Amino acid sequence: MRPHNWAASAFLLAGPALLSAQDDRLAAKLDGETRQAVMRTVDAARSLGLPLEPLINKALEGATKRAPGPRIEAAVDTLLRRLEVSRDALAPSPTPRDIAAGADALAYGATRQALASMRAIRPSGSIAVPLAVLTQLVASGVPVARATRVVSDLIRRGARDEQLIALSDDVRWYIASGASPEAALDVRMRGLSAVLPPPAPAAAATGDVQSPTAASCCKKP
Amino acid sequence: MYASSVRLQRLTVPFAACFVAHSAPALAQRLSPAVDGSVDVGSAFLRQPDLPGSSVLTLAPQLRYATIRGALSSSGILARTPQNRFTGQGILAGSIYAPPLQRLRWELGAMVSTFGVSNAGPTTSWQLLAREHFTFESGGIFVGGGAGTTHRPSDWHTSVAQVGSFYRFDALGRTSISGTAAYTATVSPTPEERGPRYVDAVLTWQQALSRVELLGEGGARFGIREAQRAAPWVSASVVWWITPRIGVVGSAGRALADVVRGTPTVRYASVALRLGLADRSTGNIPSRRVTADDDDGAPRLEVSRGEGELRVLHVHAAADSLVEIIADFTDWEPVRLARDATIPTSWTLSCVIAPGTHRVVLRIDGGSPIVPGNLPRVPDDFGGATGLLTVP
Repeated sequence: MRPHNWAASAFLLAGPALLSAQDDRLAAKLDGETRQAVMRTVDAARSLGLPLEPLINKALEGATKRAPGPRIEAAVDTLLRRLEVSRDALAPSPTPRDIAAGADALAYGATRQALASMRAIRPSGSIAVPLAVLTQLVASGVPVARATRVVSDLIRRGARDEQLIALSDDVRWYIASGASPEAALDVRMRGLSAVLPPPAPAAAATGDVQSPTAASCCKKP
Repeated sequence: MYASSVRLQRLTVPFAACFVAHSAPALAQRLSPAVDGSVDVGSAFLRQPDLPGSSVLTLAPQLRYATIRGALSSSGILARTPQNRFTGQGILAGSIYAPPLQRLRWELGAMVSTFGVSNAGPTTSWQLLAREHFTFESGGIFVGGGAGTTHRPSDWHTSVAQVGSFYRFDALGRTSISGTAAYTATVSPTPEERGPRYVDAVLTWQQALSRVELLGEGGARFGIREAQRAAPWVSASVVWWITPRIGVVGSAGRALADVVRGTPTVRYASVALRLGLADRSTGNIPSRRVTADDDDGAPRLEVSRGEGELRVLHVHAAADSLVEIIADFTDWEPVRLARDATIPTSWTLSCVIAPGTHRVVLRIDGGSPIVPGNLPRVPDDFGGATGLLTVP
């Protein structure tokens, strides 16, 4: 079995009961054939030590949106693969939330290396919110490499989750107001850089993410 | 409310520059035109040195228009004494700014004002100013100068140099502090009379709560030519918004004399009813997201921390009777939000939501699901679209 944390273990130990409840939810919304296919994927996830709820939720989303059965099955299968990649990239101790957030980031173009580098910067504790911010930035049009570098830099410098979320919101706001995603990110990064301490020397060497440079956070307008 | 009158007095020369300076960062954040204004109706109790106190009735309108590249504001006050005498003053100020998205932004501004009392000719002033702002995420600093003339009835020429800074304690700017130091030199119209020269130090603290706005200011004036003690002053005001557009304003303080314009030192306390132009349910919170997303009329969804694991979802939407949220954390079942008792466009829901990424859509009055305007819109896996919400 691949490494997982206590929360993942709890998922496994409570598996039969949870699966029953999940099956009930699926039974109420999916036809028999689709439900069986989804449950096969859920069983596979359970055997791999992956969180099950994102898969159930994806199936419920498809059902709510009246998607055809094969499309729901394909979406759940694709998510299973992303969850596995995410779990591996975030090893050794990702929480189910981390794994799910990593899978979301992968869905919008983040790379496995990006997830691994963020984990390296914050080896303990959840990185669900930084991964969510990465996802939002990428979904807002910021190039993946740039978004990864920025979020990693901010984590390294001790930015709080709220600061990361505010950054993402502000970038989105500037983009909505006509700025290019990269210009918007430049502006907000300058602001956050001004209120955060410099990165710790030891932490700056971790991961494969660029350390803070004048180009990334202190560029003059 | 008399505070606005006193502030207006101080604003004319040289503090109009401070007003614009404090406003500039906030205005710069608004990328779409924004109009706000109010009218205060009330009374004030005034006491000048060596004179008995007196009560006056006051009427004070204010109006401000701001865009991404400039701002125009006007304010005035009319006061009537029991002896049926009137005092009136008004100010019109405007500024243009360098394009946004730059750390350094220049500003050019101009201001005109007039002040008059019954049976006397008015005093008029104008001033030009230039300033450079250096802004960052939570604040900024500025430096600049200006020059102008006060006509009373002969001309007094005034020049000002100033430096200041501001800091916002939260991302929405609901709590902020600012400080300004300004040097003022005045040239009198007659060689026999020396114009005053002094330095003003001003500290301003502002806080906007959900229904209450607090403003506290204090400062001191230091004479340059004469070795005299610093003249301190202080003022405070509270606005309590009873409804989104009606509030009660209370203020008190001490204002310094303006030698050039001929206004005396005065202590005051006032209370007034304020009628606001903008809806305070959103307008009193200077959120960057509010203005931009209101432009397209799309509903907005924001999330804040509640107690423990609880998170509070806030939806701002113009709905007749029903706002529902459909999201991964609701198992994609519609869940109704509760309408705010006093703010009809505000809807909330408290629930336990795990930190991280969540997919969400809204349904207004039973219509089709829509993506909140302030969230990234992404394709789902089923041919539709969904919004990405990051929960702390």
